[in-house]
Amino acid sequence: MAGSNTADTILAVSSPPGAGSVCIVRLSGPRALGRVAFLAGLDGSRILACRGFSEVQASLQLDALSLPVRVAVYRSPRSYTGEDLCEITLPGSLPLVSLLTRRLIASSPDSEGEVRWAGPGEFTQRAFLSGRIDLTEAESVAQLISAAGEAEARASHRGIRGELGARLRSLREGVLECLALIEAALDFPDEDIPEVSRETLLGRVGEVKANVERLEDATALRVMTPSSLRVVLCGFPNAGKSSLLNAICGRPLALTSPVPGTTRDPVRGVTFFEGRRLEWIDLAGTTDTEGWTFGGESDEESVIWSAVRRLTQLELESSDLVVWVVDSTGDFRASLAARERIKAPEIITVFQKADLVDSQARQEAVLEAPEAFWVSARERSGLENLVAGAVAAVERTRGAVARVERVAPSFFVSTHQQLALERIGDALARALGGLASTAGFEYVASDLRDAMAALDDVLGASPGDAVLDWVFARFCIGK
Amino acid sequence: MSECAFDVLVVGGGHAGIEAALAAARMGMATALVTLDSRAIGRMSCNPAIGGLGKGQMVRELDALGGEMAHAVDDCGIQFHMLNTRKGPAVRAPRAQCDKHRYQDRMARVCLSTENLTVLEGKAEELIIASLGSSVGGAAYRLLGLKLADGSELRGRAAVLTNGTFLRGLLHCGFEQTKGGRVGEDAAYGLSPFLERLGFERGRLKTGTPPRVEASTVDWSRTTPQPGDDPPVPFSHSSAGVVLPQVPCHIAHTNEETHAAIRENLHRSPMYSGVISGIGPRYCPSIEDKVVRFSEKERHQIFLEPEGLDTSWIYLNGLSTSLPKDVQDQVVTSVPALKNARILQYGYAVEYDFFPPTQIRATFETKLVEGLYFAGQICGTSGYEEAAGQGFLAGVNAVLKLRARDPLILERSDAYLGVLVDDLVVECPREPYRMFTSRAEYRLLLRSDNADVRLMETGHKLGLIPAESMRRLEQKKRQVAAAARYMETHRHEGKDLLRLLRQPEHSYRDVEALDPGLQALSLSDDEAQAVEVEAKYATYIDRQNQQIEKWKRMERRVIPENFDYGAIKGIRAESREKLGKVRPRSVGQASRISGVTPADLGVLILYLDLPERRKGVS
Repeated sequence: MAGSNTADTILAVSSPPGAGSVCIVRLSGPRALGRVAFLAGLDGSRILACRGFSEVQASLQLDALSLPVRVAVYRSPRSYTGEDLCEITLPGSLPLVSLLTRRLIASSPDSEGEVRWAGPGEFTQRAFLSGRIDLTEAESVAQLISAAGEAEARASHRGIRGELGARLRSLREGVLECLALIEAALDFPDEDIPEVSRETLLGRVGEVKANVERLEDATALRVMTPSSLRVVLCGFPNAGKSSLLNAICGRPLALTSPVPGTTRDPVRGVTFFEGRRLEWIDLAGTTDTEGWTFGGESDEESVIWSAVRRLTQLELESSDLVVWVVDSTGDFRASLAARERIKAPEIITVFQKADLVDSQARQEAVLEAPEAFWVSARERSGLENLVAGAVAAVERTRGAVARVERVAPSFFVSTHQQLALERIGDALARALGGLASTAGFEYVASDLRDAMAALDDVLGASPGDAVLDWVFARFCIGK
Repeated sequence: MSECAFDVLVVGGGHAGIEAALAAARMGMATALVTLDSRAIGRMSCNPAIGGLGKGQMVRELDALGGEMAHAVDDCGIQFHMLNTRKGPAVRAPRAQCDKHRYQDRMARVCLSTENLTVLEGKAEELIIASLGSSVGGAAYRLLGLKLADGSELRGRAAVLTNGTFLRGLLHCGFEQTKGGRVGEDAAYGLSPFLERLGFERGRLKTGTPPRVEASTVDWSRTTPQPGDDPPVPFSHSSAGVVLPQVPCHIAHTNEETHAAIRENLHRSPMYSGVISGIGPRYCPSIEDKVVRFSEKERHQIFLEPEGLDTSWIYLNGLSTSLPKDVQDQVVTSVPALKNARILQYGYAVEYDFFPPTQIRATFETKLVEGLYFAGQICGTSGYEEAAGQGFLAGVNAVLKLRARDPLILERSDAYLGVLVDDLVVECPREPYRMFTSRAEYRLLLRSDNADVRLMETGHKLGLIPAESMRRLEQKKRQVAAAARYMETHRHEGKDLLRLLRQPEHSYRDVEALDPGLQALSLSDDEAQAVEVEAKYATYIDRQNQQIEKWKRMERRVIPENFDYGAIKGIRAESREKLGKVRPRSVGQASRISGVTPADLGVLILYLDLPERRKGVS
């Protein structure tokens, strides 16, 4: 029920997520500051301490993710709405916006009112009610609200048409059928209508639930979790690590040059292999092993190198796998010896520049390290073997790696729609739980009704007598 | 021309009229019940049964508030059955077949012997009214009394119209048409044109009845008996128990021969030839409707319901029809069990006037005429239980208004009766309105087992529930609380009893059997069910309570009665018209009016907030 209680805190996303580079989430009302401060953890007190207008850099804790954002705080009465108002600027990524708005809303109503999506024109309505904007006639504001309502209706109509609309409507049909079967059984126990069993309902509700999940997958990239696989490329300077990273990721991420020590900061790239997410980290051309010197170091340079070494060690410790890169055209024995001093959970060896090595040197190297991979970044050969080998090596020690789907979004949905999908999914999951236990059908129905309400909400459909219409159309009721 | 003065006038002696008149009289008002035929008070025009899904809960609610119906069922019931015992603990509902004549006699006796209540025979033809100055949202007239067909006048400060199917009632049997509200009875042809002239909007509905047959001509060996519950569970919270001997119903089926007879004669059906214009209920279709719409069904059920212990009349539930008599003969005799059956009364359809309930307030008082109330089928509903509930609420509210006390308005979260009221005032029904449990959002809380907990206090405050019943309610509440507390703190083989009860396979009685302390509490079935449901479904109940809390915030945003929708700009014309007509009590209720959009609500709230929010802002 939108456009209602002025005691509530309202929220809106002001630039369309998905395409834009930044996005603003705006909250107004008694709980605006409190909710943002709550998510900001340690930075929260700075938000609460704001007077008048100020901007705060803060890290918001969203599940496992720490999201750096800019928060503009406008204290009542010096804001557009006249209430406490916060604007959070964040990257315009749909999963992020969805995660953030969900966390802002996720709290049950209390004495200070709930946090909810703003109704059409509701920010303006509040501005008017608090006397912040000077419209002489209530009429003008009323027209603004209804214009916003119509614009919204048009926009949502556009959004709900086409493939997404068709799929949402088919979900609604599915939920309606399950619900109507239950309602018919409950309301017409004497009638000559086919008995619906728990098994049948489990099947049907399960099907609808699977369709909700498919739609969720198709609507957005899931938020990447930091649980993906971390692979560190390590080796002597100029062993060809940066070229290898660029070849694996298929684009130039790292500067490459024949001069040793070109890479100083770790460079990262992400690839996917059969549903697993791999993060490749190219370390600066050194490890904390002794024995290498870099000619002509100035004092300044040595400070830099010591910082680089510290970073390197951190990366190594948190990696899942070290890929030790050996220049097959250089002194591979020295390199293989150095490899023994690396402390890492799992190490594999790769001979780079395979296209440049002569066959005798290659034979010797194979004898020395028979399990090593052979690649040529320049010719892009042996890369697939290496990636597969890297994953296999990790899974040998750590067990199967969680897979993340990388599905290109087929539909752009608003956060509101995405939240509705989640609500539908949750309600259906509860319904399945009820069906799997011995809960009375009316309890299962209460969960299906929740799913139905969320669908009606997102489709802008009015519930009316949909269930009874369904029952009377299909069953001969009439004792 | 005689004249007589009362506080409350009730027109109609059906299920709505009885409850309205008894409530008003018992609350101490000089009440008159005006009926065409005092011998027809409490007559069951349709099937001889009360209760069912949604309906049974309403009768229990009515009983908790101080209504009469449940007592009459307990005194006259001849087959009791608790529905959904295996399907859903929160949607169990009682139903009972009643001895039709005993029921009628009993209701007439109560009406005739109740203090403050006068039963008068007569036909109300017109209202006596006074004009009021017009004001926004206010009534145009005030009720002063009734003018009867014989020219006499009854003065009254309030009147409740419960005319049932008698307003311009027209009976159809084939193309044979008879004026009447029920077979063999008169109808009221003056009142509804009068109301229409005053400015009320009128509609027309239809309902039907099946043939009745002579019991001795039924071949009972070809039917399946359907016994009631043993022991029968009474309806009323303060029942002394079921008194009459219990008898079974029987089931038979139609067959291809039946359907062929119907199909061949469809052109002789007033429904199918367009003679009947009133809209009939989808949940209670005629047999011709069933055969046409569900042609793939090879057979339809017929319930053979006895109309009483001392009568040979058998009601053929499921065979409702308006086909001509010779076709009804064919239809009935095509059923093997009814091969030699003699029809005592042919089925017929009845068309009647109703007045869309968007013209009444949640107190059942009409918006147009102050002091005039509508209840029952005149509001577009069907069913004895729906009628009784409305009659009661209308009667009570008429009294409360005369005493200048707050009205009794039940909410959707309070009772099925609250759902009924809200549905009626928000949207005119498309067909005769019947209660279903699916209409109640908060069904898990509106149970038959807790009707007393929900409503008895209210009935007591009205003065309609005696102290003795309240003592029993307190006792029940104590029992339920004590059992819950006991189970929380006592264990069986290391597990606390409440945990045991939460396991799906255990009923309260199972757990009770494990613990002598629990046995000592000796909970009644009703109490045991309350404990069980609340333990097993605690999470659902919590969630539903949260939903109610959220929902109520919108219901509490009251819209003043004199709110001027005409002055609102920026709202769509269609919404303004609907809002102005329905005049919702709250923003919540406004949101349930079909076609009213969130933006419309936004504008509405803006105007509601104006006076207070702009205070102090220049």
